[in-house]
Amino acid sequence: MKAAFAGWRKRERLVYGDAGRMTYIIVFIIITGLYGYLFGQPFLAILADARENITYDMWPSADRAFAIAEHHFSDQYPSAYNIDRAADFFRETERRDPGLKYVHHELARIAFLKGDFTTAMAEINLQIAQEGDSTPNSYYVRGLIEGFAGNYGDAAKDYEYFLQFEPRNWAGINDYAWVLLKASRSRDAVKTTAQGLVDFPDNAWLLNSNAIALYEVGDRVLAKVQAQKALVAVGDLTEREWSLSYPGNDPKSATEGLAAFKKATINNMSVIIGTSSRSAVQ
Amino acid sequence: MLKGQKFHFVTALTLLLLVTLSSEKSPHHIKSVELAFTDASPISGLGIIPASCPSSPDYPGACDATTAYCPDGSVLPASGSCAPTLSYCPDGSVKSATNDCTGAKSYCADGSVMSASNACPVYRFCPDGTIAPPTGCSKIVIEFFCPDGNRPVNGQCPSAPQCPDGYVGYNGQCVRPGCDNVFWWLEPSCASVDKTCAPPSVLVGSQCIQCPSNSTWSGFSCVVTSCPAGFDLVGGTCQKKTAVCPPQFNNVNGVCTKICALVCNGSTLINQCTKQSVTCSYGCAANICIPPPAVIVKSFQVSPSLLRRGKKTTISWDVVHSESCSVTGSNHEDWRGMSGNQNSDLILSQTIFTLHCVPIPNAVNTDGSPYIWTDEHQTVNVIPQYQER
Repeated sequence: MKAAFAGWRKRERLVYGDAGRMTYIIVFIIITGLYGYLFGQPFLAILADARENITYDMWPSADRAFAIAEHHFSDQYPSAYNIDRAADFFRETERRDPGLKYVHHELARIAFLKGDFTTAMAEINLQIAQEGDSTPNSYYVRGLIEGFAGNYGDAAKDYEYFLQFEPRNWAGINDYAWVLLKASRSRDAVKTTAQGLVDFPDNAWLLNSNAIALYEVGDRVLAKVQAQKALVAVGDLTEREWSLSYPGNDPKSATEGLAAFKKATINNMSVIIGTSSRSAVQ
Repeated sequence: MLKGQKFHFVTALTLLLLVTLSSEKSPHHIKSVELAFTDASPISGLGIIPASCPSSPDYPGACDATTAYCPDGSVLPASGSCAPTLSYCPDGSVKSATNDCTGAKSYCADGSVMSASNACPVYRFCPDGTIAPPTGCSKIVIEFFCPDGNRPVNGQCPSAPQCPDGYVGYNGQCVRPGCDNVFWWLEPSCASVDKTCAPPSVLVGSQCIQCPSNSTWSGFSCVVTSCPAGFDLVGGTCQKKTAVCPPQFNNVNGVCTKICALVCNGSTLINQCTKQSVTCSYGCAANICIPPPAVIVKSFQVSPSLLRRGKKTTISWDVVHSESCSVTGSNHEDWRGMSGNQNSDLILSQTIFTLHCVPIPNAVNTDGSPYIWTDEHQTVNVIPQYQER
């Protein structure tokens, strides 16, 4: 045991040399750690960004700027997710080639995620004016912005238009049902979600929206069944599946987002069960 | 040596703390509007959860249903209809190159000859393509079947469900012991129903089986994705292709029924199949009976229309292409008939005579539009009398 420890000390001396060199290394590590703490980025990420900047400065182009921006705005690279850096490179893309296919679409998504609905609407309208039906999911994004801004009538129209291109897209159907419910059109929401459940019978979002719509039209027994299924489906959801459903968001938010979803379905279930039990007693 | 060890320990601890802090305090870890948002429905207050799956251009078609296919295996085009491929004769054989089918018997949709009583057997098919036995297809899902083999109605079974070992029945589902009460949702371990088989197998009775080759695993069940030749995938089951009927036949409720042409012969309309005939009242043209014409009022007049008080007038009318007609006066006189020539009572004041006719049912105008009758009126006025004071 003693001999093994002595060997470890010997190897350590070979690596670090004398005490002075060791001190320099420790000071360097402390400085980089402090830099990361004060400026909010791990030092390795700063080095990666610096390498990216140098490469871009040497070979600048709209396509390269767009590729870098997408790299920082994708759930595929959680450690590289950096919405501000993505926005900078999308703006650089726009400066070099304002007609690049999805640039205003992506700027709109970033503004939307930050809650800046005015900028988001301006960018997505510019995108639709430029690209029209060649980027149908821009209508979906506009519906999303309008929905969160409380403009449910326009949001419903944009979702309807998007669904003409992708009629079997569960998120499009679910979000259409969302604005229908917000516009107090529960019966339409029942039909819409029921249609979506034909293709996606175990989809947690659709089951949850369907349960709410059924509850609001008075079918509380079936609402309870659907709410139970929604709860089971949410329990089966993985963080990866959740992240794929919110592709613009920081993948590190998956734990929190999934927990919020579960909490909402449990609350819904308790309200629906409470009411249906009372109605059964009555 | 001890001093050196302590130094390493403090350094490592400091480093760990700083690395942890620097990664946690990233300004790019924003809380987006979507994540903070569980929207409340204005009617019930329940929490709606919007998603944003199709927003990214990186995943075209993400969150779309599985691609739909035509019977020949090609991808369903955006128009939603498959290009015509093979056509089938009523007996199930593929049509010849000349697009011809022989025989004029009536066939059922499954290719069998229709019985003398014009009845066809009703077939149901199981997911594996076999004809379903009277007892129904084998169950491949445990959660949503009751012991009697039927699905629960509104989550309820007539009696307790039969569950595999380690589970108990509650509210139409198999749940773990302790979860069989109305407050099961409060217990975190009850929030999800365990799958007892590893994907891609499903529980049948108490054994895990692999999904058949023509299906894919989907949570608790095997979902049929393809059918054998001669079958279409309809609503998750394989159904035999509906027969495409030969020329001059129509598919009426799965039966190829001959189309019988109607032809004019003079003013008679004849069914070429049954040779039954009808006589058209107003002639036959373009293989249909000519519809009845509109009412024609040849004449309707009063004479004189201006007379002294206490005199009589004569009302005459002549109408064709009508079922019935009547003339009524505002002095309560009336006559009936397609034509007439009648003297009135003594006229004491202005009197209006109205001609009303009932057109032949389905009568049309010369332009083919439906004919609607409008009443006609004639007025008899009395010459005013002046008296010197």
